Amino acid sequence: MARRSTDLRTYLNANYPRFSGKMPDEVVKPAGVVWTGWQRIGYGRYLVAAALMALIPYAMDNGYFPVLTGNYGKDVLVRTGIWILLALGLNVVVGLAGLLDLGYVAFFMLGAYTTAFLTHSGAPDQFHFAMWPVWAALPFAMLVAMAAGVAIGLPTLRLRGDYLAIVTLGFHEVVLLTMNNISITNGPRGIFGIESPSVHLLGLNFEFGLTSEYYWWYLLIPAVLLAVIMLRHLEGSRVGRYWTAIREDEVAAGAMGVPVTRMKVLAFVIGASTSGVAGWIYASYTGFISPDSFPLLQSILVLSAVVIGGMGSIAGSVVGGILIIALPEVIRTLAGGHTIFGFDPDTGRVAIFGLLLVIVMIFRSGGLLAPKRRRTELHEGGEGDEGVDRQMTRDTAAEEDLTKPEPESGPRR
Amino acid sequence: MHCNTGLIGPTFVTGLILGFLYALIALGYTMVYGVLKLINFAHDAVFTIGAVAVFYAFGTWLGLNSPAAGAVLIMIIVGALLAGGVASAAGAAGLQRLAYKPLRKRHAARLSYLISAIGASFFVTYLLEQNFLLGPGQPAFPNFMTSTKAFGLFGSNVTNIGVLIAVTAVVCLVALDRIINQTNTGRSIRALSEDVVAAQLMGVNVDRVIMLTFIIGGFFGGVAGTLYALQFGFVVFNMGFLPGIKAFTAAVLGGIGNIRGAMLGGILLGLIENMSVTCVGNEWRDAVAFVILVIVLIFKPTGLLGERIGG
Amino acid sequence: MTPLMEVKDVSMIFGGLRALSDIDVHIDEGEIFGLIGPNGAGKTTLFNCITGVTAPSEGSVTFADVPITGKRPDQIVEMGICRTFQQIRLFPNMTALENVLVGVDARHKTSIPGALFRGPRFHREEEEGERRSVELLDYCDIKKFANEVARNLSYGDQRRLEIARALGTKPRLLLLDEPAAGMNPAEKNSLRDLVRKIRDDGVTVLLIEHDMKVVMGLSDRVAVLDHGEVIAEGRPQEVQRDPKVVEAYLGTGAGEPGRDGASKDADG
Repeated sequence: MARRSTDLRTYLNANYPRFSGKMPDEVVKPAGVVWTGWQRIGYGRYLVAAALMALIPYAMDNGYFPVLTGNYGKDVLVRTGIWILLALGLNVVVGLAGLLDLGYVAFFMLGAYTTAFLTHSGAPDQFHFAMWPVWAALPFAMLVAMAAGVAIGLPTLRLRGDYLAIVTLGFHEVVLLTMNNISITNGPRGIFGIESPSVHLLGLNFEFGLTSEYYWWYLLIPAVLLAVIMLRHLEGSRVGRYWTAIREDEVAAGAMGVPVTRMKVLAFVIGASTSGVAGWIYASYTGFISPDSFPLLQSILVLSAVVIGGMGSIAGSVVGGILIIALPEVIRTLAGGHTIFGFDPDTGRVAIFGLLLVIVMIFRSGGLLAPKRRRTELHEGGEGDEGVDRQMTRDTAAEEDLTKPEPESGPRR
Repeated sequence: MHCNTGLIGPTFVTGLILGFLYALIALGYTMVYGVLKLINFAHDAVFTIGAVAVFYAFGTWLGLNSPAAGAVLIMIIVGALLAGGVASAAGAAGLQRLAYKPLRKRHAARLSYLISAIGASFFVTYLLEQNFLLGPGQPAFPNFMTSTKAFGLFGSNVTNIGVLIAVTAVVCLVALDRIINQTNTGRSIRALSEDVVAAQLMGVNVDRVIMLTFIIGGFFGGVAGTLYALQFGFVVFNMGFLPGIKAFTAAVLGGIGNIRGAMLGGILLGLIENMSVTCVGNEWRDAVAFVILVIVLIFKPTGLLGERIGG
Repeated sequence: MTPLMEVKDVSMIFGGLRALSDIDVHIDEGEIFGLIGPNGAGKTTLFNCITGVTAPSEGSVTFADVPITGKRPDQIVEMGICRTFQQIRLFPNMTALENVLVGVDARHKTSIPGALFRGPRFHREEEEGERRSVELLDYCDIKKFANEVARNLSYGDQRRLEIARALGTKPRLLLLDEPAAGMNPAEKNSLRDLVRKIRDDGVTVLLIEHDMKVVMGLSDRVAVLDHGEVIAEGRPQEVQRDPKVVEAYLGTGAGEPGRDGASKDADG
């Protein structure tokens, strides 16, 4: 039962001593909360975070960010914010509940199209369900995404976990196909002119629009913080413990009274709702959506943000979002060309982050900022060469082994 | 729903041919599932590797871009299929070694395998999309075999390539069935998919068998990839994606982990998918497989023949 | 007095194999009921039928006059039945306290909105749950490991933690699947005391065990399963002398210890 320490340095020394010698301490130091003072100030920390985030536009205007300036910088800022929101939502699904959702962007797409159908948008003959103000579409963008989540999650989540991955992959393809083929979405031509929201408060008018992009950022601050609080609250409640229990041993969790399928669907749907909200923001921010805005590779990029940042880690999602959106932009601008070492900035990203997924899984499965438990959890078992792949047999047989008769009770098939 | 009955014959023929291809690809999913109890998400990339390798070797290096005939054609075809199979087998072996084995040695959680496989798949796919490789376009596949009518069937033309696909697939399927059910390797694979611990106690070298499984599955994936490129006349970086999802559906339909199930599921899926096009229209073709997948998962998750490797 | 649980004509058929045939057992409130039998006799299969992991092919199980066949495992836990596992299945990377908390949570009512907005019930239940979990750890003598990750506990303590976790769900009937397996004599002794204490505190216990000394010393009544059938039932002393039981354990093979040991290894 002796388990090895999961400290990265110890691990590297044991397995890759030569490699370990070349890695400086800063790279290998155990991840964790940088400053624990966050915890001590309670909910005040969210206000501090909001204040810091609100200062970013000021910093940007004053040239503190070397590359990201002007409207380009604003655009990158807002898109990074949307992606952080997406990553936080997917973190509930992948990080907390341990489910692999590869069609996450399909819910994003559904949220965006719902927004387009419920508000003023498109040509005069554009199909609409309603012509509401943009704000009124927000809850519906969320609800439609959630309903789709239930429809896909319920039949699939009763079964083994990896079916979900391929079903969500297929689901994304079908939603994309639908948006391309039905007439009310204009197919590949997309829907333009989606209205921007406006705020009239205390006699002040804030008209959102492409000329006033910081408003979008100010809208994203509460959205991101709400997602963070949601994640934290769920994690620290019985729901979060149930999710951890399901990740660790599904059969045992069921036997302890955890409604396994319901908890999985719940995680899936909560993730979808966040994605729906992000879709609403995206649709009204860009004002134009088409099926091309939601390729499958975006799902993979969100997944990369979550996994590379650290599954179950909020800071990880934020770092992941920056890594996936802002960093490539900075590199692209600095490189000054259309390619980076021959890689196209858009699609090359996917190749590089795909490779990073493999590397992270093998060397640091908790991601860059792993919560303590993850560093032990994803690398179960001892030093390996016990010969028998016991852990895997157990994991994979989990659903079946109890339904079979005791192995010695009859001839082995 | 309006169904165009006049198309039933032709769609049957195309469906059967595509079905053979799905069956070949599905073998890779189902064999890896059998021994590792994992969906090999990177199998679509393995499929692409085979086709792209033949594209480079026969098109770019050998320059076989004009139609050949007779014995030369047969040699080229056999060479291309073998080259595609070997390239994909090598790709699958590399994948196993680099993305799976390290995780297996550390007894990683299931999620790690899935993420690692997805990462590997997208790495290969989008590496191919870069301009120093294939680029985003659809370069033409070497044109050593022109598509001509071989014979008529149900009022539609079966091309020589269609015949080639059917013959190759049947040969491969029979060969694999033999390998699995009648050789020592096959016995080890079956033993491993029944019970890892028991197989190991009986002296099965788990690492070797897993590697062999990837190699065999990869080989058939590469053959399928080459045939697919030959049939459609081009290669493209993400050509494996849709056939991958569909072949997986086929594997589930037949009973994942079950080799004969994969064959049956592949052919059935090809037929259903293409013949339903007569009713729902060609633009919805790719949705059919997905709908079938969900229906199977709801009503018969163990598939038509159940989840057992071997016959 | 009607029995707490009644297993009626339960059969379980896997393919052509009859793992259980026409099992008729009842368990009275407040007793320790031992279920013994050679390996492969169908004991764990019966456990699985009771706890909702599989539905029996035929027959019914009633608990406190309510039929429970066909219910999901979590519904059965809610009715007051909880189990431990033959091969320990803790949540290995959660602390001992968190493990017990998962069990305790089964009795909590905090809803999703409740967890999101952290209303008064959330705080009350979290506090109460933590207190009760610590109590249960103390009850099972593993309080000192409360903040230790479960996988780091010794084998015997992991078994105790499994019991504490199951007790967290406030069961009326506790099913223990070979709780003494792999324990040394001292640990077995203290386990016996623990099981007795649990019974004395009002929880009925159904016990599968291989160690005759443990079963016979603990149980009020014993049923013997062989080849999926109940071949004897009654007070431990009577059952021990039953010729059919002697036959099942000694008559067919190379003697009990060898047979037992060999098949258990293959099982592991």
